[in-house]
Amino acid sequence: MTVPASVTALDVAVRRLLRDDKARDRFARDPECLGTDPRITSLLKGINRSDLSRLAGAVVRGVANGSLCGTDLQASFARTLLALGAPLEESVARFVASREFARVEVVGNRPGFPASRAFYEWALTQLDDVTAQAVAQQEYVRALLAVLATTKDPVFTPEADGLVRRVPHGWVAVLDANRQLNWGTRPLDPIAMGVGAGRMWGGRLPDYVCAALLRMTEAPPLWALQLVSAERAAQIAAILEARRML
Amino acid sequence: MTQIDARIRRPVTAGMGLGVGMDLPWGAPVGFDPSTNRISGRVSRYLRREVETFAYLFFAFQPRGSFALDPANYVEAYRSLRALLPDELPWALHHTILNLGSVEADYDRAPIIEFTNALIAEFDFAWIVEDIGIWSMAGVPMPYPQPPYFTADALDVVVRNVTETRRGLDVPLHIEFPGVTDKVTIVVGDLDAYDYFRRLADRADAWVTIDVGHLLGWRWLTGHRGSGLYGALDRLPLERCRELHLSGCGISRGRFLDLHHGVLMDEQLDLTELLLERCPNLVGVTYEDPRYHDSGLLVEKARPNVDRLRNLVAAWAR
Repeated sequence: MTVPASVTALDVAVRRLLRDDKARDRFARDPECLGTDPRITSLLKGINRSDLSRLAGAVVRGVANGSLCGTDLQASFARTLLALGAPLEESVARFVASREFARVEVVGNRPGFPASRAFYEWALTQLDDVTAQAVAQQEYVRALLAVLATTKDPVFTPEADGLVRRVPHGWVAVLDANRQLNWGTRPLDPIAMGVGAGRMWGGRLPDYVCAALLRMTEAPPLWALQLVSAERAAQIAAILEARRML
Repeated sequence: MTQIDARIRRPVTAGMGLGVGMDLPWGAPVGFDPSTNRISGRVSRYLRREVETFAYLFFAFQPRGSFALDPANYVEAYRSLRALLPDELPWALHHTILNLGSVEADYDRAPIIEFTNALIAEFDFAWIVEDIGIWSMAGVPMPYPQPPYFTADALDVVVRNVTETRRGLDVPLHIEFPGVTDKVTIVVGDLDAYDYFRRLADRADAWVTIDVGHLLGWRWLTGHRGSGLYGALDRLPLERCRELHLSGCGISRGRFLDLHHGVLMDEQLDLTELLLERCPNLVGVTYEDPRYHDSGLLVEKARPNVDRLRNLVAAWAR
């Protein structure tokens, strides 16, 4: 559907004022700062500023507590938020203003992009400490698996970033306790997490068990193939299945 | 208008009477229970007590967490609700993701319409209703649906949204007058909401629903008080009005609040009385979001004006 450029420009400007507190402050001082045409600037000037601030605050709180995007950031990313070193609402307000948040898509009529993934990606841009980045990755994967434990048919693609992989009866992820891990890289201090029989599990496991888990995925990383034979992997998988982890 | 009427699958006649409307989020005490995939016990107890006193019911669609928009993810729970209703009781669906007030060019309603029509086929909803509002912005829901942009060029876009959606749905679409509750909405644009709504309904040739609290909220916001709250009704598309909604409202610290707390204000009932006289095609009046105890008993504070509403509607429906 074609929408007049003036209407889209108004919509984009309102969204920016709602999501970006710095833009809101600048606009309060200088209504021309958004670079909109005079008619749109006039409409924006007509918005009650305290209502705008209150609504923006409600958006931040709704994103933080999960009522708007489905992920309770405060609960799911508790350690990451601590590492960010600012009060909860301040950190979430910065996230809401970010380009990572602009990718969030949770309505259901288009392929989804979960807030947990956007928050994790944003947090990586804010955190220099390697361990804090690893913790953010673990919290993100745990949040994703929590959804997968109750949702067979999610609106987003869980495998999109390569961390969470489908196995015949559930999902697994292998991470590193101390550093952010990319798919394919062998963890030095492995942590495994997963969903089996509708339940989440997770913790430190020996690397050969993690390798066996990854051998059950569609395209296992090379290190897993080299570390554990198919026969040994099948034996381990049988044990994990008996424990209802797969 | 007669063309739309002919498409009503379950015939709805004028003067059905008082209906009940409920928002039923997943995981809330008043809602659907995701662990059992059924309606919650509290709602069941309320309906067992009260449903016989209502002429119809609607409930509000709420997305089920991160589940895909697939009827299979909803059917079992909705069946558990339907099972509590008398067989002949008409029901409708209050939508929340048609997002009719949005002006986003890429907001794709086709999968939502397909999903809705599948639910209509399964459950025989008599109509679909949604407030004209911006329910989500760039993929993220708003804390409260925002009124549409009250400008002439944005109205053109919303007319198209409504027209296309109305044509796509297998039952009538009722567009609801937007809410402007203080504290969580912003108003953008210089058209009066009454004029905007009439122009929209006429140009999109749509049936409308009037939320009485939303009218009062708009009049309050634009500075009217006392009898002025009931003014300018002739600027509304009253001949297109099929349904009135009344949900609990209040005034606090000089602000009009659309609280949905079950307690109706006297002003809502006074305005309802005026509207009942002036809406020739009305089919029902909905008491929306009743507040009740875990036992299913309506809270004491709500009872006087709910009784008054029942009497008003009974007199009108006779």
